[in-house]
Amino acid sequence: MFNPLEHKDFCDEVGGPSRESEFLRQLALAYHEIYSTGLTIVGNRDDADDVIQEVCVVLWQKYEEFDEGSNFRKWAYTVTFNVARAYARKRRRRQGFGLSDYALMKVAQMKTGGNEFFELQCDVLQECLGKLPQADREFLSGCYRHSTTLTSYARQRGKSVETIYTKLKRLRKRLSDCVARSLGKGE
Amino acid sequence: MDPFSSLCDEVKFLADVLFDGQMNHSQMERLETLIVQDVACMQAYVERMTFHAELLKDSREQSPAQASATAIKEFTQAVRIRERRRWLMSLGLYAAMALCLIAATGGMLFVSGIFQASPVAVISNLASEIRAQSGNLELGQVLRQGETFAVHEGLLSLQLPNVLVDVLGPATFRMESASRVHLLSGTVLAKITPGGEGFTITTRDVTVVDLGTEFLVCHAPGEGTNVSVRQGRAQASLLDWRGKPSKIVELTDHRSAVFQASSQVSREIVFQEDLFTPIDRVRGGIRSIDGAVRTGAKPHVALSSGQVLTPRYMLVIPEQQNLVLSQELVVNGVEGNIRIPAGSSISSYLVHYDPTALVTAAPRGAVTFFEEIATIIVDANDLKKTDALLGLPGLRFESATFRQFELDEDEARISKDRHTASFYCGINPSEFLDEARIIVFSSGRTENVPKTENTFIQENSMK
Repeated sequence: MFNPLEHKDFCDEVGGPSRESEFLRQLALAYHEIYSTGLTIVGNRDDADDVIQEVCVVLWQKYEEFDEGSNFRKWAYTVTFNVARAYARKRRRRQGFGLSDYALMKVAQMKTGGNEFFELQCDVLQECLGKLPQADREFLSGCYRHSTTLTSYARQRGKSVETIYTKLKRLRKRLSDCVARSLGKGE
Repeated sequence: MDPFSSLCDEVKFLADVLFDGQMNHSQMERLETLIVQDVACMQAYVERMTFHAELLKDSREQSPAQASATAIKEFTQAVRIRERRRWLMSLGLYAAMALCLIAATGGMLFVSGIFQASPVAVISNLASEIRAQSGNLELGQVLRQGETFAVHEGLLSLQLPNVLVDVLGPATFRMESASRVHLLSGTVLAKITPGGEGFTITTRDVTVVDLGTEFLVCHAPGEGTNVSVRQGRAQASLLDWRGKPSKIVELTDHRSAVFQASSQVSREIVFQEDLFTPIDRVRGGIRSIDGAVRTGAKPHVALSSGQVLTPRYMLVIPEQQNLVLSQELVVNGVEGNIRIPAGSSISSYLVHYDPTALVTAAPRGAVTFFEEIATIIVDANDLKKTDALLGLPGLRFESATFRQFELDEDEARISKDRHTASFYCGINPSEFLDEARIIVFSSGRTENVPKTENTFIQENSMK
């Protein structure tokens, strides 16, 4: 079993005393939630990866100011939202379009307010994933592991991007239908 | 574009396009419009992004240990990049950065100092009979994050961003944040206005997330939690022993459900309108009060002179609520004669001020309503004329004319937006009692709600 407290790279990097270990432990626990929040604000995985990298640095830089008695997740959530929003603003200026600050704020409120519900949905999604045939599950994993455009994955599998994308859409729909049924939404 | 069976389906499609990096300008505009205008669409968007995040997680890791490894990898990678950048910087830039860092750290410390106990709500309404464990509660008092309050008796209203929360004593609650209240025991009513969606009330049994609504949560430790939605929609999640949601119930207009975490029971029951009554009786349609004003609903037999003394404040008593007039009502108000047509739905509030001879300071205060004010009756004859129709049944009123507001000394005004009534009561020793009746147009739970411009005809100019 991997033990983050003994991770050499990290200890070499930051010196290794217990506060750093504690930071790492809390970061690992909150990591998925942070990622999910970042992705919800910026919208795509490549941007989310960049944002999360930045979030990790900011969290570490500000960790000295973090009160050990308070809630790491909430604190990390606030930092993530601020970093992701700043990123989304820059991207909006660069691209000429993007969700407004108001929409992002509302999205963040919804994400925080319904956190437990969304967690439940994730649990249900995991159950639904378990029901997929192994081949479909591997295909899905492959699509999500590869870059945004799916081109490299399509090339690797010797298929056209359209074929890959059609199958991906079908699997997504099957999963969301399964989640909706399990939650009694009746879709 | 694909045909969509609902707006939420369209949002899911657009969220997928965004996630896959294929979004164009017009699609982004459409997504913005949908999620800003429709809470359900907003929820669909967040659900979809959470869905993608979960699938990404599933594809990238198979165990918590690997999640840790991912976190470490991201972190060390980011730190290395930063380190490399730093070496490239000149000493002068280093010094400038150090100064910036000092300033930023100072700022962060300052901000975090505030955030540790950030203000999350303000007391916007107090009932006259309020009693609380935490000593004196005052109008305008700021409640801070993490604070716990125990209200023994009476009604306390809190204004949070776009949310009005009524706490009916006996109740104990904790302010978790500006959008979250934890109820340890008692009854809480949340009235959400646009922008306040997502507001959450938690108990040991259930987490209730608002989706644009007015709902009530009543919790008795060990017995369970009742959630009743009067208007709109709320999502109630039954919690398991770990405090994690185990079942979700979506409640809409006039539906109630009970939840008990210990037995993992959640079941829908007949809508509990009577749970709202004690709160409606005290607050009615009042949004907030200011100054020397308190609301009250303690049953009184008589309000005649000397019976209910209010030395420190004016008492505002909600009377008939959502009354549909069977015939036209013509009264003389502060702005002259008005006619309120038959069929109009109105609510009435009596302002009662009866100080003792020892009082030397005249009170000033204001009441703000959710709906528009039709008029304020200050004349004794018109008060008497409307006592039977608008007053609380069985209550005796003062018959002498000194009950009226003497407008040469007292003041009664309606604000420009017609939502606020302001009062100033003089303390002329010969005539202590002052009463006025505020008539407010009501909507929401009544049919055929009239609009202000068309519903009353002002006959005279202002007095």
